[in-house]
Amino acid sequence: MNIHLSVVAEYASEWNAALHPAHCPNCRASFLVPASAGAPLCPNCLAARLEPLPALERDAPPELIVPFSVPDATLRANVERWLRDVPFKPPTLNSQALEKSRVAVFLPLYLADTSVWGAWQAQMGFDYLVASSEERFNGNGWATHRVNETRTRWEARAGDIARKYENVPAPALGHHARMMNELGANSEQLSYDLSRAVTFSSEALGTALVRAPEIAPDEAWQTAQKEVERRAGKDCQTAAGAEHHEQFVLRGVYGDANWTLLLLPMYVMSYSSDDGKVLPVRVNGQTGFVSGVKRASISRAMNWTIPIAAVAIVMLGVTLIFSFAALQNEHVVPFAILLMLVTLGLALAAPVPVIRAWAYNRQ
Amino acid sequence: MSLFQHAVDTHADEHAIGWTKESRREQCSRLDSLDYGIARIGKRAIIARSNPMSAQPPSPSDSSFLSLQRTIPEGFLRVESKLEGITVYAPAALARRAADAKGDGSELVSNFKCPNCGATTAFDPRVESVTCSNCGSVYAIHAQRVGRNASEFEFTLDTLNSAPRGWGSTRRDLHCENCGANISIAPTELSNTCPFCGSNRVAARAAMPAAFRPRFIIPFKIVRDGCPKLAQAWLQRGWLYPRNLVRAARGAQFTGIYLPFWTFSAQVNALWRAEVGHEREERYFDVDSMKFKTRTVLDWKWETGKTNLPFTNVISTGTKHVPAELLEQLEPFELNALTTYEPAYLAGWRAQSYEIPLDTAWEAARARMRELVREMSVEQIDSKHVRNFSLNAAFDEEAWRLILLPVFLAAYRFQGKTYQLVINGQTGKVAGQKPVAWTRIWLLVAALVLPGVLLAGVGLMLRLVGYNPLGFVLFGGFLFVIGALAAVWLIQSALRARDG
Repeated sequence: MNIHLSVVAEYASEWNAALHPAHCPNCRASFLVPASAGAPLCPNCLAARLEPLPALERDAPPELIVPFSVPDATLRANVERWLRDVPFKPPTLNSQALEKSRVAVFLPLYLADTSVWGAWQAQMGFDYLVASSEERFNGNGWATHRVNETRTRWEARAGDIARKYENVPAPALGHHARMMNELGANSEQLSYDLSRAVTFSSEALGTALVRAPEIAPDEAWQTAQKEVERRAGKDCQTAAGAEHHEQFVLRGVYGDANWTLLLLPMYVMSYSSDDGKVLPVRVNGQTGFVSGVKRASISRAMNWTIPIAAVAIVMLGVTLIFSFAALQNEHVVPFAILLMLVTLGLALAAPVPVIRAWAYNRQ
Repeated sequence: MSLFQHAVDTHADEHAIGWTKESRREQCSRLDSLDYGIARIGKRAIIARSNPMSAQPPSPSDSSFLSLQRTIPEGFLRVESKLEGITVYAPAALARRAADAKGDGSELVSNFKCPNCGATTAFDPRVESVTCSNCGSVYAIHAQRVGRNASEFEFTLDTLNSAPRGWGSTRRDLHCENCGANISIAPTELSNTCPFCGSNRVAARAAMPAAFRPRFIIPFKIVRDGCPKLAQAWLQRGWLYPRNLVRAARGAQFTGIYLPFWTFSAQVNALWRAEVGHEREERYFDVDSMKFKTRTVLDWKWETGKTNLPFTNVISTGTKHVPAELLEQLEPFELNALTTYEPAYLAGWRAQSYEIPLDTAWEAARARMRELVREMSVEQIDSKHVRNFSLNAAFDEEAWRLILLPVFLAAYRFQGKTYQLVINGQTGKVAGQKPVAWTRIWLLVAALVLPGVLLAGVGLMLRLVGYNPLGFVLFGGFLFVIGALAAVWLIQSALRARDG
């Protein structure tokens, strides 16, 4: 990998870490790679090695970073738990092999701060308890069963809003939502606890690769604005004392908008499937949540199927011999039947491992 | 071409010609400009977001803000906001209702004094207004006729707690020591007779404000002066009753009183399941007779079905002092005349607070509804052979109202006994209890049975003197049976008439 030393020096002055820009020729994802890392496999697609770039479009250092906080033992235990249900695992799908392939990556995320002023209107839903009943009739007469039901009354509300919203997440990657989902996103569509973010430092960065933002802040702002509207809707619901809201419309102006770049920690591990395809296993660097595509190995399943089938064929031969013998001597009949049943059992059992692996992969 | 692709392509070109990073950055500056309208802020810690501060509004000179600053929407009122920085407006009617529910319970209480002369006023059905008998002033009542669309309450704890209580006017309670009834009267009324039992063992006391206030009322249409004529016509009807009944009832005092009624609405969705026997003709070979014969057999099958039945304005009485059967005879009340309750309607009239509480009345109404649903479900089954019938009925959209309906009550005494007389104050329909002239009834019974008995007696005597009496006996027996049936019907009618 031919890295221009002046580029590394320049990033070292800005990031206070020896990094150089690189990108993947396959998926075009851009990274800042530690100078010591050489040309690693692209953590995004795992299909090509990263190639150096003279510069990145968006390479300014972040203000905040969420450090890796999953102990190795926890990480191993989580991976083993995740692997537990995979039958006939490929040779590289085990906790040791996965750990060897582990690469630490930081993902970028924008945080937007803004104030909003304007007018809103919505249908607000107010829950209330109703004492209802169910009447049951059988031959013995009626029985009443009291039921407390929660019903929602919808009423129109309108109003004005003047509020400030801080730390509104805005994606810096095109596939941010999918990535967050894979890393165990919660209902807020974010799988990290941002309150544990710290001021960026090269120590927190360590030897991890840094994914460069794909989306410019102005594009990200569009998403942040939707999130601000969602939060404003929730706030208006709270202000109205309602439990639900719908048809929320906000006509407002935004001001004092600022943004911050934040890095989120993620581990990427990989293993090879039967067909030689490298598949990723991603781990949330803060919570230890593991996700990825799990594949069973058909070839490993065949290692069970073939011997069982071979034994079944041998048993079939023995059964035939005993069957002929049984025609001559009726005392042999029970043995012949027993052998026939055993052979049948083996014949039925032989394809089970392959079917199981196939069914698992299909699932 | 996407922004990102463009940037990468730019980098590829740059790599080929070996530009320095600074110059490439300048080239990329149009893509990576920080001038996005949002500024990048410096390093800072994440601020806890649980309690965001409200922001300062922009400068008043900001034209875009001014265009958004709104006045209160038409038909809306400002209501309490539970979050700083947000104002909330609600439709005026809902806002007022919420304010009423949160109020301190104090309200304007009417006293029905004439603003002109200070005399006591009363509601006059003829002019449908409050009038002063002293100076002749007439005051219109500002109530809204809502009819059957009168709003209802759901069975919520909230509603039960927030529903207004009391009469909304200064009133006294009259407690009858004889029958236990409580009647609400105007404070100036000098009354010492119970309208339910006619007893004068009554004691006045301050009104109890704990009961729900009625929300709707049907005002009186019939004037008190017209009641004796209506009662007389009703008492004279029929021949089972004593002749001097009209004279005995002439002294009856008619008291106009608003009686409490509950109305209930609900949607009942029921699922039923039963084993239904379907008849089938079957041919079989009878060994005894060595013939093929036909017989009917039952094929039992489990069947299920649904019954969805809406109920609206099921009326249930709220008083215990007028028999429900009597009140049922007064129906129908024309609910289209339902009007929002105004205390002025009670001016000069009596009213009774409900004695049957909401839950008891609702239970009774529900029992009637579910029984009707069961009957309708059974009717869906196209066979008379049904066993193991079961039904689950879920009640939905249950709602109730407390209304006042106008009734004239009178009690009269005849031969030492008290009888009730009620008149629908809206339609003039009369119902009540009437004493039965039992002597007349028994004479008639005897007249009906006697011909048969006599003929049978004649037949027996003829048999004694040697004639064949079969014709007499048969005809006498026939007449006796007919007479006896007529007598039973007559006695039942008399009992029904006596009980009202």
